[in-house]
Amino acid sequence: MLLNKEGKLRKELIQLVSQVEGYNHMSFFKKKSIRSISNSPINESQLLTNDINKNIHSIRDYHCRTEDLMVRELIFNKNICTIFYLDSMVNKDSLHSSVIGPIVETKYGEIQHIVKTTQVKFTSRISDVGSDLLDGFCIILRENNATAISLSVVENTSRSIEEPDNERSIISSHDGFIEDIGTNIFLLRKRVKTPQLKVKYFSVGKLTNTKVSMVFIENLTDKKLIKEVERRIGSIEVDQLLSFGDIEDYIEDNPNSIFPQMLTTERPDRATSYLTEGKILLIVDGSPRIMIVPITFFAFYQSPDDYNSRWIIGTFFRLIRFLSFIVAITFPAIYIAVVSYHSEVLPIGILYSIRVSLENVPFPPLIEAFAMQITLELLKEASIRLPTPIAQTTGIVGGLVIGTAVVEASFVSNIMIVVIGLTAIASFVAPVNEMGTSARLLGFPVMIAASLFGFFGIVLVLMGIFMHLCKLQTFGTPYFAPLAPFKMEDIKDSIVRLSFWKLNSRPTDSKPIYKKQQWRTRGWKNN
Amino acid sequence: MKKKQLLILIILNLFLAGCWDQHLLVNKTFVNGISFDLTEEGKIQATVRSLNIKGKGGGQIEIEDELIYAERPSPVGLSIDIDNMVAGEVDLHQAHIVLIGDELAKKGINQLLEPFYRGKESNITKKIAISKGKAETIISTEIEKSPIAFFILQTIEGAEKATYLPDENILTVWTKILTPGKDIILPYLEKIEPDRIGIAGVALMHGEKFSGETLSKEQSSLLLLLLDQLNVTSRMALVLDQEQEERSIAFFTRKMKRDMEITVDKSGKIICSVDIKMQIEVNSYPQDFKEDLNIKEIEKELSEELTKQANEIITTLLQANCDAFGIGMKISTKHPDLWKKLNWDEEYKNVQIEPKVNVKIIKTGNVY
Repeated sequence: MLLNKEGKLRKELIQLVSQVEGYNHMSFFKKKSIRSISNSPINESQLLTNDINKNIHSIRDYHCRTEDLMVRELIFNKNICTIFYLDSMVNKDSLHSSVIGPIVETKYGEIQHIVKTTQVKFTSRISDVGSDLLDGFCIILRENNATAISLSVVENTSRSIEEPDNERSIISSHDGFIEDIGTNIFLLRKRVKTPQLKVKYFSVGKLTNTKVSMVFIENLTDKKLIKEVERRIGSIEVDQLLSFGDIEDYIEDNPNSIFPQMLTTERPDRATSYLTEGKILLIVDGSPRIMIVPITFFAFYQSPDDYNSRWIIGTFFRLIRFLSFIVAITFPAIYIAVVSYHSEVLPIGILYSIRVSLENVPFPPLIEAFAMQITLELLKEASIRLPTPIAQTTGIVGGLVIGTAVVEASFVSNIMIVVIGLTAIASFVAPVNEMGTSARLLGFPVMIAASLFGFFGIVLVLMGIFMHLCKLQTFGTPYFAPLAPFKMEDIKDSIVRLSFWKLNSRPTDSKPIYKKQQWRTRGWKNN
Repeated sequence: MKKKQLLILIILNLFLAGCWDQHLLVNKTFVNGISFDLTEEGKIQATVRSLNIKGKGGGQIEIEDELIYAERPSPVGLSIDIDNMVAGEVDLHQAHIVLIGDELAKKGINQLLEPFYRGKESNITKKIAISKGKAETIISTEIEKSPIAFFILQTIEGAEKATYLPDENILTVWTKILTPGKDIILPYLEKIEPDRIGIAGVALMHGEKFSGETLSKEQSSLLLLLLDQLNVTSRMALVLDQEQEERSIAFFTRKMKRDMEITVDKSGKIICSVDIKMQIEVNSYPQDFKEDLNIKEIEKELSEELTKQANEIITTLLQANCDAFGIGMKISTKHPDLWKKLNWDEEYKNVQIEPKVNVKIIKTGNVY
């Protein structure tokens, strides 16, 4: 009620304002929001003039007279020319050797011909000059000239390419994406050497101006999908975009679902394999994880190692991982259901030991399970951020001290420790960490249902979860493909992993334009 | 607003509904064996062997059994008495065996089985056995050694696999008792002094009542073959008595085929011929090792011996009025007019059952 009133009031106000100012009320808000960020005294579209001093002032004002904006005056063609650069953004060595050095030595000629930088741009707008400065360009202003020359002398400090810690592999390649967007695209291009590989840049965030790039294979990726992703990224109007998580939240279809709808990875081999399936990669400058859209549920249980081991072994491990998903969701719940409703399903031997271990536990099984599950999360959370030597101590305190002492003090039955331990291990099996955590979280509603209705409750919640999975869509493609909708030919590289020579067609969940992906594989056998 | 409240109420109700059926494992007392006896005053005495499990720390479990007795003029209400005597809820799921004393069994077992068959909390695949003498003496054997009921259960299950005992449980017994024209045979247990429990054979039932007649273990084995109830295997040892020289033979029955035919002749006499063809594997045959095994002859001798024994068994069956073959049922379907005229309880004794056993040795294995 209150909200409605407020809304009405606001609408009236907007109408009033738009009448007065002659604005359409939508554009009024847009304008206002832009104004609120770039609060500089310089108009966006103001041009450079012939007066060099005025230009210097304008640029300084544009950058709010920041103190790391350096100015150097030189004489060239017997005229004064001024070099601007942001002290922190440029590489001094290259500034000296490829810009200042040649200008001072040559003295006459055309600047764009004597400098040794890779990129030379002419700009006449102050806002463009300003943003070039932010990108690590140096700007040269000349007397009686209304165009500025931007020269790229960007400082590139990034860490070296390392294997990502959270997606280690045994037999696959050991390189990983880093924080620098250029290096990441380099890693992709190195693997997919085709002119079809297309990179599109977006700049998102009015304050941060974060570079977001969209990488796909032009002739393979569904055009509708490309348009849709472009539309969604283009619609983001925010002040800051700091990491991949932001963009994920902004563009995913079901932000309230517990299942991750974008595969984020730091492994170039994994990213390339999806690229060649006709999916789109999104890279955010400053984050080492890149996003893959659209994705299916089963992709979260695939690992590059599957493809590098024999197909039987790969298939076996895939099936084990799916089992781990089910175990992580249901195992504590099954235990709760058994000890509070269906103890008759237990064989005699186990029945005795469970009964004995429960003897002095004062809590109902649900509380027991919740307490242990939360303890486990606490231990995990505590040891993630601690430096390794202390993290080991947490492991000992958590695993040994709490584990045994809790049982001996009979707060928790030791069978429950076994159950929770197994659940935790099962959830850590998922090759992509997010999915494992999702599975562990999903365990809680199943546990509650189990404590209320026993096996019946478990079935109800699982039905709910699978209904949700079947209904879920990412960028217009089904999330639970190839099981729902069922596609026999896609099973061979999703739930199982058959030999490469059987994978003649691409997975069709992202609707690639060309379905066939290999023609002659074991052709030598026919000759 | 009202709709929302109503929805919340409905959802809350749903959540509450489940807890009604919660039976926490901690609160349960396990019963592992039940016996019923007839006391001298004519009352029914139930003896329940319940488990008393204690943890001794370090994963060690101490299990002690407790005996609980209840007495009532009828079986109804016995369970209430027992429930009152036990701490927590009584859990009958693990009670794998129901023993019935022979005196009580002669009065009928239906009323005893009814609560197990109908109650939702009982294990319907429980084994049921009739004891020689009081059932209580068997269930109270070795009170400190637990759980004796599982020992009995294992004995019975082992015997079922070796085709000494019929594969029956409460469910099958209940349905068979209620089927007219078919009688059952039940395991018959005895206590062997000092502290052993053994299978004495099978008890022959007439309807729901124990006829008092029993068959020995060897006989029951052959009867089960005649009934076409060969389980995994059947082991037999026979003494072949031929011209004073005593020879014994032990063998497994691997496969068998039975032909049963019921004919009614003009005078209304019912003739039932039971032919079985057994394929056996000779296991042990102490003989003159210099001679070769005369398979044909042994087959013939065995067939004759077993046919002779089968005849004895059938005499006992007829005496006990136990229609284990289900002849009555067959007549009721094939000759319904005749069946309506018959008083089967009386008429069964006049049925002529002609068994014929045909043995074929398919393997001699280590006996060559």
